[in-house]
Amino acid sequence: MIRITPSDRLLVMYLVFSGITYIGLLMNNQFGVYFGLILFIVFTAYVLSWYLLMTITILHTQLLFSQDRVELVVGESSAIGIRLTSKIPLHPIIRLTLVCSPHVLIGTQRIRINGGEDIIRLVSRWVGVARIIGGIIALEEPLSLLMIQAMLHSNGVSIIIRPRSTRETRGESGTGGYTELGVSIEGRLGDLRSLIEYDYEKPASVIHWLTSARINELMMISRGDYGSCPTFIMNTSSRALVPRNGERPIDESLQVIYDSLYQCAEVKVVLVGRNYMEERVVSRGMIPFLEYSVRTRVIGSVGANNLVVNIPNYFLRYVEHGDLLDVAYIRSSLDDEPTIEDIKKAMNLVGTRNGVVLLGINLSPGVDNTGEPHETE
Amino acid sequence: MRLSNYVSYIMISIAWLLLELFIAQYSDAAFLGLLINVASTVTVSYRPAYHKYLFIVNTAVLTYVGFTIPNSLTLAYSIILATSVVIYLLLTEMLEASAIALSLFLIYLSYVIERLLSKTPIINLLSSLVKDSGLNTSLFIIVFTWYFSLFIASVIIVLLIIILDKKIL
Repeated sequence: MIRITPSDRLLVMYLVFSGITYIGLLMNNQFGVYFGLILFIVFTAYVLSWYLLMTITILHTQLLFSQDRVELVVGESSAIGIRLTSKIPLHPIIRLTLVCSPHVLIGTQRIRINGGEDIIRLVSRWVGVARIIGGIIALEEPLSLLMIQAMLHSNGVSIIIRPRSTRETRGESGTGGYTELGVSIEGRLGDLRSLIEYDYEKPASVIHWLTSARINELMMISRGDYGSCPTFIMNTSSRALVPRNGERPIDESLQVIYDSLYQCAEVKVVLVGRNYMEERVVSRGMIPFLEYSVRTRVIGSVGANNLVVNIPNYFLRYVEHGDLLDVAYIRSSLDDEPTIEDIKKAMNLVGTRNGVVLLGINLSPGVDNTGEPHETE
Repeated sequence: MRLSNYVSYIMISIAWLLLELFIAQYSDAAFLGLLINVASTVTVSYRPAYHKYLFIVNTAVLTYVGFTIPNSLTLAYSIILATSVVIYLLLTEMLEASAIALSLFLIYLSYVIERLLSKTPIINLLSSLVKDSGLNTSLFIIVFTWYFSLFIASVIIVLLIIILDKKIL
């Protein structure tokens, strides 16, 4: 997991030292031979020693984070503590580039090994569950003769990125204003059926506090089934995951679902792709995990040629497949758009056309394989 | 403790000044070195940022001076000049001190290998081949044995690193 790159400066230095030696030899001059030889010996021994010491230091270096989980809202930034510790008592300065999912932007940082805790800023740009799986460190010899690169694994940091809370910014109520991005036939809250004993698996927002205080026991509202809350049919093809101008279509879809969950504790989401359909019940906290499962399913099914990973090729073979899926993203969309038949099956599964919202689905005749954005209905 | 680049350069410059004054009685080229050294000291006092370039210029001049001195002084002069280069690079933190400390052990290892090599019969064979070529045989053998011993030491170190890499992984 260590890669060494000699620079041109090293070659020039050795040419100079050898040149002095051979000029001395050809001119039969003792000084030329002795001086060139001494410099050659000293610098060769130094370069080998530096290489050996730094390699041993890096092999015993651990990458540690101050926390293993970060929660963010998309578009916001946060800071996380980071430390590089090594059993070897040396303190070289290295350049660290964290290996993480493309949902998060993290810059390269100069950190000292065994130098205490440093702070790294994370800026989130997409909704989902991101992970930091390790880092690539680059250590340069002070005279720039050699550069050593290594990949350090860590236990990882999970970054949960939620959609924005748009309720206040949009100033809309009722259906939450998702009609701009989804086809809505009808949608309202489910009818109140009864008050029943609180199910601890349900979110706390369904508790009817007035009744609970009156009878001194937690009671929850039981509403009509999800037919009254909107049902979403979401496109989970590769096109939804390909970024355009820094934005992904799936993020808009997830924002719509997130906004609808102000009125409903949970909504039904039907995920559709080419010959693929899956029904999920989603609450607000599960939105990032929904993105994660969609992304890993799509990435797991594409070939390596279509994947982009921000890791140098030399280190790819040292990354486990599971970690690779977490940090890879799709280069271009594939031929996996849901067909009209897939959408009809999804509608049949829902069972009603009332309150159904189609997200990211192209209803034009035929399927567009170019991935060009069409009206999102 | 880190000295400023200016102080480091001045210290080395004074050492070179003393060396050039001593060498001046054996070589006229030392006066040129003296002149350039003094000019460099004045320049670095006004522009400390140029210390690296002035150092390279003075080292080049002293190398040229070394080619003009008598053979009896070459070994001592070479050692003093090489030592001044290393000390300057250490003081300006252009060399890692820990690596230089370890390199002394490597140099000793190379010396032991060189001593063993110089006693092998192949060296005698090489000497007889070189004798007729016009090159100085003793100098050639010194160069050959040291280069070869460094090569062997390098192979040992690289193998050690590969073994450590695989063992720890």
